[in-house]
Amino acid sequence: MTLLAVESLRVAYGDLTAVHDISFSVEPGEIFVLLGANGAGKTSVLRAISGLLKPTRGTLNSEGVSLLGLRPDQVAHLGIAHVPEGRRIFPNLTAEENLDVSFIRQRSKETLAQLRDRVYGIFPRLASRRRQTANTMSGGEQQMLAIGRALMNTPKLLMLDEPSLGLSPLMTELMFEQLARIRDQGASILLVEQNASCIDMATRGLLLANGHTMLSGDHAKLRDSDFVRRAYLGV
Amino acid sequence: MAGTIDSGAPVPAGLPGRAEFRQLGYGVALVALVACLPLLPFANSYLIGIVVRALIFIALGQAWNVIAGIGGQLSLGHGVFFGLGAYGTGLLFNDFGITPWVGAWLAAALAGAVAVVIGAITFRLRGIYFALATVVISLAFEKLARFYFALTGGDTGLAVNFRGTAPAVMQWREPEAFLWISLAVVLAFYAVTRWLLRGNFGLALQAVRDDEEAATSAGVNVYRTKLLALLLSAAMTALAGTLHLQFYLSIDPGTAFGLSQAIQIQLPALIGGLGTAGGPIIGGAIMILLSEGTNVASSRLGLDGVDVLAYGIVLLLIVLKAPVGILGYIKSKRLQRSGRAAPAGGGD
Repeated sequence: MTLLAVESLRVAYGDLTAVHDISFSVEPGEIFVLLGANGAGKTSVLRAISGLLKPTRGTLNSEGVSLLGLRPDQVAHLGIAHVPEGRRIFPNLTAEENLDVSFIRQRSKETLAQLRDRVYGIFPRLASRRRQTANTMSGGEQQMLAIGRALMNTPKLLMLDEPSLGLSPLMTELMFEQLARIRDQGASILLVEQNASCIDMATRGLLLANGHTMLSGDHAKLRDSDFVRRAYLGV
Repeated sequence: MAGTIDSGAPVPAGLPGRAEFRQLGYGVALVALVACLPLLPFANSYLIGIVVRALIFIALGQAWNVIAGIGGQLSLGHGVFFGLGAYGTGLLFNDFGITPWVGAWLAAALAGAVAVVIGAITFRLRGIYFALATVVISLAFEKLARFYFALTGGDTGLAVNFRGTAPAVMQWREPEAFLWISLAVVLAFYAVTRWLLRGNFGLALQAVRDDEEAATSAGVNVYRTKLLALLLSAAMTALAGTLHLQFYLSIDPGTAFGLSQAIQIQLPALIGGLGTAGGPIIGGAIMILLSEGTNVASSRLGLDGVDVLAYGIVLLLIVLKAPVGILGYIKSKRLQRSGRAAPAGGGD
């Protein structure tokens, strides 16, 4: 069953339309990328899916269930986890407490300890920081923590908003490797990026510009397109 | 990233360290000292009265700290809940003969209900609406209390029908009993704060304080969490209001609902350490000592009125020197010494 189906999505802030008529779907086991420059509407798409803002038009479905009108916490409990842009960790809580927040209202078959261990398995660095206050952690660690927190929701779909932002190229590459591992463990990934190097690991994707779809297709089509080459070069 | 090998072994979680045992020792000694105060040779009603005032003040600070410090929702008008506790208990006793032992809980429930209405209206909105609403509602209740003088006694206030020493209706001529009751309340509120800092509900509440959007994305029902925290904070504030009423045996609209009272409620946590369990206790104790100290000193020196000025200046100095409160200041100093960056606040 389609994990996420976005149909004719339109998002507007007052008179300003951020997303015009966008449709795509994410299937189980996929890494789907939404690529585009600043202001292309990528973040608005994610925020509409996770319930942080109301779309003006269109439908959003996950495995046949409509996401429209759900609160963000309800969307999270459906197994759609959103890692917002810019390392939105809880600065005054410890790393472990940051993870635990995602567990509080969850009806999970796994215990808290099992879920933590799985996150620590993917990000061993977090295990050694577990008692440390999150605001004393490095930028890369905070990004891992934000992703780890989303994984505590045992997501079917993990949505990430520019996780590479502010990371070094090496860090970015490592993080993309972690995402591939997370996918291998059973979660699908919807990745929003400006950094076109993520195309390498994507199954399919969409190129956005000014809220419109410029291009959509599989890995090879994205990689070989002029649009992406230009975006990649930053023109 | 994850490829790097980390030097330190993971710290075992949940085991109290040596420092925590020492803190526990200090705490027990302090509680024992306060509880045994009437037995000390130099103790008199004046001294015990000051300690009772401090304890009630601390309890108010602890109650405000729940919503503002741990929940991050700035209430500028917590006098509403204090006033409802005091007036509620007093009216139930004077007009219906309901003992304050029961009336306290009814008044706390009333304060909680008002809190839920305020929260239900303002917590769906972002920004300063909640803070503004608390101020407006404070002012409205002050006017109501002045206007309905047949019920409330108007400007002169409400005087509790005094029956001498009558434990069944929470009345004593001597302050010792209030010392023990207030101490028990402060200890109970301390336990509530510790539970909030450690437990699941408090974790969600702190997440909401730190980053509302990230909290909702992590599956926290932000609105419900804030509402429950305000309900708890309001009920606690009302219980402290009952203590105040029984100790002074009177309440008036300005003391109950006035903005100066609402500001006083905020000071213990702000001075001691916002969002911490110990902060309101340290802050409240320091402020009462300070206000008594400056009061005594100014009257000895024949400088009446200077006490309030001196009190204000010292408070200002504390706020300038330690904007994150005394506990936050100590914590950041300690972290600096161990060579790490200072956090903005939090912890216990």
